[in-house]
Parts: sequence; structure tokens; C-alpha cells
Amino acid sequence: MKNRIPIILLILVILLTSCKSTDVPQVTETPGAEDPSTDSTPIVEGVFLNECRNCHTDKQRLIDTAKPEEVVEKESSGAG
Amino acid sequence: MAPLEPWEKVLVDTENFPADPHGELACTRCHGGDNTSSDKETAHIGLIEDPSSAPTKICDDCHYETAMTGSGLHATLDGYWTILEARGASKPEYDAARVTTLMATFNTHCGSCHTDCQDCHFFPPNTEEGTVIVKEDVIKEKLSRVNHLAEIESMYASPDQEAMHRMFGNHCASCHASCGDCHISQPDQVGGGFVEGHVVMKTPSMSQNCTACHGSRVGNEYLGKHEGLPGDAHFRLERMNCVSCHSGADMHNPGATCTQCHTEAEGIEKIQKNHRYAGGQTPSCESCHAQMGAWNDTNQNHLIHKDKLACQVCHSVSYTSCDGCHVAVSEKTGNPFYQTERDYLSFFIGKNPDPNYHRPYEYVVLRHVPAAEHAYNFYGENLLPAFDMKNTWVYSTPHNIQLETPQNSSCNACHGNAAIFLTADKVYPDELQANQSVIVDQVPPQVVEPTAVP
Repeated sequence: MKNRIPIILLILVILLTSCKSTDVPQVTETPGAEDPSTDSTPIVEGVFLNECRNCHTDKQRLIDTAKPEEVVEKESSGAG
Repeated sequence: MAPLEPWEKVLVDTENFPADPHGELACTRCHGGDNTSSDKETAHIGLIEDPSSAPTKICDDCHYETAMTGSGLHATLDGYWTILEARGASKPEYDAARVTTLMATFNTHCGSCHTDCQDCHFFPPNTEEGTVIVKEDVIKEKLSRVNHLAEIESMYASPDQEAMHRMFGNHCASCHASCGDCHISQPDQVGGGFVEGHVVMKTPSMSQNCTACHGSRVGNEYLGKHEGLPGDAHFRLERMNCVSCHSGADMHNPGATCTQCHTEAEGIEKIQKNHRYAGGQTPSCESCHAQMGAWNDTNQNHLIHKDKLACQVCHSVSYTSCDGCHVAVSEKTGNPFYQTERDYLSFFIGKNPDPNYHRPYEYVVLRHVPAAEHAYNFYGENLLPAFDMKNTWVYSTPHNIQLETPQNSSCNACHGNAAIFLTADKVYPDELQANQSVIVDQVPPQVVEPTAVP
């Protein structure tokens, strides 16, 4: 009986795996392809960690990296 | 409205934006760029600043119902073309780049249909390889039936159309409003920048969105910024903001209510698309003041004047008119600019230029628009060849409504008061022809004032 246990287990495993449905479409992972519609980057205390948000939520960094705005001479006149 | 600091324009609200459903999307989903780079220049490669504008129009991907009905004039600017075309201008029917592409790929396109070479070409046997005889008569006969090349060539804009197209793009198009211009940022005309840290606002801000564009006339009148003239009663007394009357449905699809009663065959939808005063009044005063002019209205003036006078004739006060707008591109900076000769406050009652089912009034109030026959001369001569076909004193709905006004203080404050009617002497001589439809020939005569009941 002791010798039969591994054999029975093996048969059980084969049976169970053979019952797996083949109808379910298999998702093939494309390396590097991610769902672009959601942000998969981790959240720390409600703030997404990606470089866009890292910068655009950091007032000082925005001040430091802002391009000086050109003073555009107003050439239009009168009510628009 | 003070301009925002450069950093302030692009600072995302860390608390509220992530809670917004749009905050769950990757930035790059709408804006492109590279969200893995911490270097600003690299991160901004391929950046789309306003993805709600054409050609991206990213909002349409999810808000397809709004997009499908998004025929509002804020987006299409069709109202401008309606007026320009009434004055003889015309717009290119086809996109210039598309026509050029068709011409460049003509042979490829034609080759896909005309697969049998021998229809038009003869390859004589026993001659040097590559000898081809073109069957001129066959080609001539085919061209007499359909000439694709000529068809495509005719799609090119005429020089005048091309000039108007450039003018429109430089000047009129700056008033175009994308989804983001109302729901995320201030319009570019006032410097742009987030209103609420990129939170997508269901309701636009009255001061930072609506009157940012509609400020010089509507905003100033509604808020009472003209000295001596009170603000609109709806604002002074009820603190109503723009969306109290101008609903989102009206903004996105102004023709929607028309189809509740009318069929498309009646042209209601088409009319509504092309002019803000066409189709149903959205909003109308009666939407809220339903009792006005009804059988149980105790105000005799409403019963007498109903459908003869637009509400504003009795209930608005002086409003802004402008004269002589000219546009050009600056030699100094290369930027487009405009100049209006003057603007002034006036109040004139005139004939309704276009009485219709929804606006049957005989009299309306009129505002002078800054249209000028040579307004676009920078771009070409005589671009408005039918300038006289469209009035320059136009149907107007001033946003300074008052219960009591100088003209409704008594019957004869209006009747017989030539000063408040647009008579010929008040119209510029060179615009008399254009304004024939609105000039009042005979001021309504004075009437016997009713005796006050003791």
C-alpha cells in the first residue's frame, strides 16, 4: 500500500490537470505592453509614484524648472 | 482676474485629483510624453498639452455620448462661418492637406480601380519591349463621363477661401473652447492654467471659465461693472451664476430640445447648429417665468406686448457695442492681433431682423457688432463681397436684466421716444443698406397713459 500512494497521487494529478478547460483563451503577455488606461505605479499615501506626478505635485520643483514666461506685448486693442 | 504664476498653472492637487476618476488614469494615457523620465525635457517629448482639442479629442473616447451630441457652437464655431458666409465669404470645403494627398497619390488610387491596363493602353506585339500606345479616344470618352483628376483639383480652395481660412485660424479660432477649456483649465486667452489643480470640474467656474472669454460684454454687464448701471437682477438679487440658466445640455447639444417637438425634416437641428439665435431659445425667460403673458398674468403690459417685444426691450439697460474691428498679423512679433475702433454703451430698440417661430417679436434690442467691410484686408482684398447683405446692428440679449428700466417707467417713456429706437439717422451712412431690415422707419406713437386706479 505504501508503494501505491505516490502512484495514486500521480494519477490524481494527471486527472486533475486533464480536466482544465481548454476553452478559456490564453492571455499572452507581450513584454513591455501594459494597459495604458490605468496607472499601475504604486500608491504611497494616495499619491501615485510616477515622474509626471512626482514633478507636477511638487511646487518647488515646478518653480525651479519653470521656463521664464515671455512678456508678450499686447498688440490687440479695444473690446474683443 | 490675476494671471497665475507659471508653476501654479500646472500644479496638480495631490489631495483631490487622485480622488477624481480621471486621476486614476496614467498621465500618459491622455497627455502622451514619458512618465518614466525625471528629466523635464525628456519627459515632455511627445507631450500633448490639451488632449481634449483636435486632433486627439481624448475625452470622446469615454464620453462618447457627449461627443456625439457635442455640436455646441463653443466647439464648432459654426456661428462665425454662418455670419461670414452671409457677408459673401466662403470657407474651403475640403482640408487642404487631404486634397494634396489625393493629388500626390492619384495614380495609386486610380491603379486600384483601373486594373485592366489594356482598357486604355495597347501593347503592340513584335515591337521593342515597353512600347505602349495610349488609346486617346478611349481615355477621352472615359474622361467625358468622369474626370477624377478634375474632381480632385476642384477640391482645392480658391485664393479667397484660402485667405479666409488663414484669417479664421489666426483670429476667430482663438475663441474655440475644448472640453478642457471649460472643465479643467482657464482658456488660453487669459493665460491658461488649472482652475482646481487639474480636477475635472463638472461645472465650469463662472469667473475663470465663462467670463474669462465672455468678459468684456456679458461679464461686465451681468456683474454690474459699468459705472452707473446696475448688474443683472438675476445676479444682484439671486446670485445666479451662468449655469443657472445655461445648462450643460444646452452647451453640449443646443438642438436637443428642438427634436422633442420637431422632426429633422423641419431643419430644426441644422438651423440650431449654425447660429446661436437660431432654433429654440435655450434658455428662454419663460423657462422660469412661465406666467409671463399667460392668461392669469396680472401685468397688462405683458399681455399687450407679448410676442411683439423681446423681453429685453422692456427689461434691459445700456450695453456694449463695438465698431470697426480689423485683424492682422504683427510684423514685429508675428502674432495675430485685432483692433476695434471704439466701444461704447448704448440702448436701441429695432426691428427683429429674423422673426421666426421661436422669436416672433416685432421689436428686439440691437447691438452694433464690430464687423467692417475691410476687416480682413490684411489677408486679401474684398473678402466680404456681400457685406451689405447682413445687418451690423444685430439681435442681442444683453445680460443686464432689470425689473424697472427707464423705458418701462411709463408707456410714453418708450412710445414716441425716438432716442431709444434705431432710426436711420443713428446708422453710419455706409451701413444703411446693410441695416435696412432692422432700422425703425416710424417710432411707435405716443399713447394715452392709463389712469392709475386709486
